[in-house]
Amino acid sequence: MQSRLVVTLWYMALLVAGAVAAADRNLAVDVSRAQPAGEARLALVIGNADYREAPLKNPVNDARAIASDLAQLRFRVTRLENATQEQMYAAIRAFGDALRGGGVGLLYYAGHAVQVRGRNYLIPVGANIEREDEILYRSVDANAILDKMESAGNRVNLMILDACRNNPFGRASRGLQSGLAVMEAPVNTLIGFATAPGAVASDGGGKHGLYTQHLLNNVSGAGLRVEDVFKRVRAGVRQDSAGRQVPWENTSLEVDFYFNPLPNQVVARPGATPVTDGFAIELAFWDGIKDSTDPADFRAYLRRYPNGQFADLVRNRLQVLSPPAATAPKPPVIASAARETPQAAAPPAAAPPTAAMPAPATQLASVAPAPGASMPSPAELLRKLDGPSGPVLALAVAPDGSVAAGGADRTLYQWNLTRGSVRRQVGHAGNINAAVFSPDGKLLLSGGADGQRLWNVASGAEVKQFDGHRNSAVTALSFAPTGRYVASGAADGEIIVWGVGDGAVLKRFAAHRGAVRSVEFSPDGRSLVSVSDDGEARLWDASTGAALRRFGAAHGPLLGAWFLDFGGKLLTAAASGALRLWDAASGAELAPLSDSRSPLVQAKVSADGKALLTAGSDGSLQLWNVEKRQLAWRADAGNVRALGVISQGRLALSSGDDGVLRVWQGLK
Amino acid sequence: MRWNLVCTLALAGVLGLAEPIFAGQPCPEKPAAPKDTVKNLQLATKVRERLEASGATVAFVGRAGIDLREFGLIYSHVGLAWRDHPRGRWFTFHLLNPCGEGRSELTDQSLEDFYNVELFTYDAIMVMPSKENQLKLLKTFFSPLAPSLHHIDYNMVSNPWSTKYQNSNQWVLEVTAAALAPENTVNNRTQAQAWLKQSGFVPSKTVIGAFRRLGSRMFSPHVFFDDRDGDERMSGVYNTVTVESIVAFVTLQDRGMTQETVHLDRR
Repeated sequence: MQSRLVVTLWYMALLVAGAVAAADRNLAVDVSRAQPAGEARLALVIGNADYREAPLKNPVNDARAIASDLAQLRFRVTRLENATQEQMYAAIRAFGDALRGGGVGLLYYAGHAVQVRGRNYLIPVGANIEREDEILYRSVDANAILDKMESAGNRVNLMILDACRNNPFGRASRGLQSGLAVMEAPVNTLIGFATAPGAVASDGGGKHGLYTQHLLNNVSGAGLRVEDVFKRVRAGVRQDSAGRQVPWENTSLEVDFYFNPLPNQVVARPGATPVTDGFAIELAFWDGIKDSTDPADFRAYLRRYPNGQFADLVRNRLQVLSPPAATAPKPPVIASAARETPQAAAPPAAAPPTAAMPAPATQLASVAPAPGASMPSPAELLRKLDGPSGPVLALAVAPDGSVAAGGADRTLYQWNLTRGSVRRQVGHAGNINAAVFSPDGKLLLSGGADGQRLWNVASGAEVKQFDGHRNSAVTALSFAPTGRYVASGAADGEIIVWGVGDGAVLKRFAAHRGAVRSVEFSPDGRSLVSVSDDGEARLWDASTGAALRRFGAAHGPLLGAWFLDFGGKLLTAAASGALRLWDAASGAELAPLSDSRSPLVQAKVSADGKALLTAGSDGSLQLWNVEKRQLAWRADAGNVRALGVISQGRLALSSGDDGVLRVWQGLK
Repeated sequence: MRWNLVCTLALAGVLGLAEPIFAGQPCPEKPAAPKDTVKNLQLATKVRERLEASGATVAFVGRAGIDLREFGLIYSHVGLAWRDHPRGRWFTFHLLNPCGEGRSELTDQSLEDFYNVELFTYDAIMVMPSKENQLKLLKTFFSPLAPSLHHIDYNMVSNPWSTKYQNSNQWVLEVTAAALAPENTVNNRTQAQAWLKQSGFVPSKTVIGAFRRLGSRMFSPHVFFDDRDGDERMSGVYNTVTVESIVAFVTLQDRGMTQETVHLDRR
């Protein structure tokens, strides 16, 4: 009681201190993203006008005016006028090198640019381009500049392209598309285009191009965030062009940038994050929700501040407002069930009395076979691992055989079956529906009602959060074979492909009419297969998001689809019990693997495609040898909600409403 | 980093010791001059187009950064190129030697940067393994095993059958061995070399005379001969991992592989 009082007083002291801090500072500034005062600003400004065949009037004027304004805004500017390809490359290289020192990088280009096969090329002056294919190496690839900026690793990059005025290669470019192609912005980069993708911009009737004129009108606006500058530019251009030209941006900025910041929009010491300000914002958040009766408000707090000053209070409040499906988490306990047949399986170990956070590693009991034991029944339950306090909804298997589980108690459990340790990770504010390890086993990704979280397996630290699915729960996850991309599927049928390194959304497409039940990258990472409650299995191009193929409609939901034989075949499992094989290239159905004896509720294939584990609605569990197309064993496993298979089918894993992970002998 | 582009060879440097070493210059390969960048990009573009057309996800790529004609060789440096599928780009894994230093590091560079060094000729080679072997290579080069097979002590003329040093082509070869050998056969460099020997890898034989050896030791911090036995030193004929020897080995191992070359005139 006394300690509770102390804690309360401490919170009150923090609230007062935080309120004072909040009053002293502008709470509108999220200091974690704020602009350090005095940070380096570098700009490369290029204006190309003197084209032999299609000269432009304004780019040089535009470049000079922009360079002048940027210089006044404290940018160190390098300006090129009517630059050749060689001059452009030399300047870009120097620009990229200089950006490695950190700060803000800005590339402005006015002149001709063309789109060839989805890539944008800036046209140097003097480029001798006779045929379309020569554009690729006689111009400057805009993506290559982005790569340079990305690899510099500085805080913010801006690329402004006033560059789609008309087609300069009438005789050489019949195959070209008009306007510029969409470019994906690397992390913390904003790309501004003079007009929408595929459209053409005006060179302007006055001294400047229409887009640059409005940029000049707004870039120095005091206190405007860069996004606001471009919004104003867009409104002005659209109005002046009577809607014919609409500027457009692609941004992945996660931090704030102001061309002309107000004093309270910068933090004093570059790189330093003032703790007081961070707390002031958290405090303001807490003040805003503390009297709320809507659990969503408190979940939102936990999403943003999983380890915040008020996290424990928020969790307590959440328990009162929306009691979870399960009781409070139990500390993980690993029980032994050596050589226990399923029929003789003991009930789950009783829950120890109290929860401890963080849970210490627990030693795994020995599971050596009993001496002289007779041959067990075909299905052999080796272990029961206790820990989760509610239904387990997701199981994942790492390359080294480690296992992760998550579910209704919003906690991730990681078992190292070899070392016999378990670790518990808290952070999710809702059910965990899906989990997957990266191919190298270093990362664990979990997803559920509150988005996705990426964890460092070695340290247990949360690496990243990804909330790309907005209001829809994540239901399926897959890592690309390189480990650099993730495909996530959601309850609304949408699939997103996003970058692990930068969190950028690369593709987003409405894949199904029902919830995505599984999504898998092909072994080469070129395509994706997904299945859904809508009964469809569909193959997608991972680069473009284009639908490639549809594999025969099932009567009722599909549970999963997996690539076999180096990606040449697909195996689908339907809730009806049908296990079907397909030729991935043609979509033709091959001889069926087999039919389960009963409708299925879950199915999972081992990473190497050698074993398939299925769970029936009648409580049965079946392990299949995929290569031999044989049922290896069948057991009674009770209610099953998640499955896993260790590589080569060596071990099979099942779990369900009781939260107990059952480890079964796999293929022999 | 600038020196990343500087000297990136293995045998290349090895065999190109003559002029650079005698010139007192420990870095035979230099960054591309701006005037060369355009041509280099043209070469990289051609390679990328061929790789795209092949439908491959993984391929060995080689460049000619130095004059190796006296040894009957064209290419000096190899990397493993891989298609960054969702973004549609091509990148390369390869081993770099910081200029003037006796150590190396692994890098993951764009295909354009891979070819953007001072090239002796605008020749490129692409070796596309069979689909099955591409997937094995992809898996292995992205696994923790690939960096674990990297040995930091760099030697341009490292012995293919010794683990004392490693040059860049040797790293690619040893990771390739881990990928193509039966599962769990290769977990370290010794096992990789044993499997390569047993599987018929034949290193290139290069003649480096005593005078050139002496010169290289005096002027270069990354040329050593102390991983060689007396017979080799006496004969002056050294086994070395070259791009050509890797291509020959992959050809031997993989009947489904295909090979292409690109050549651009210097003008």
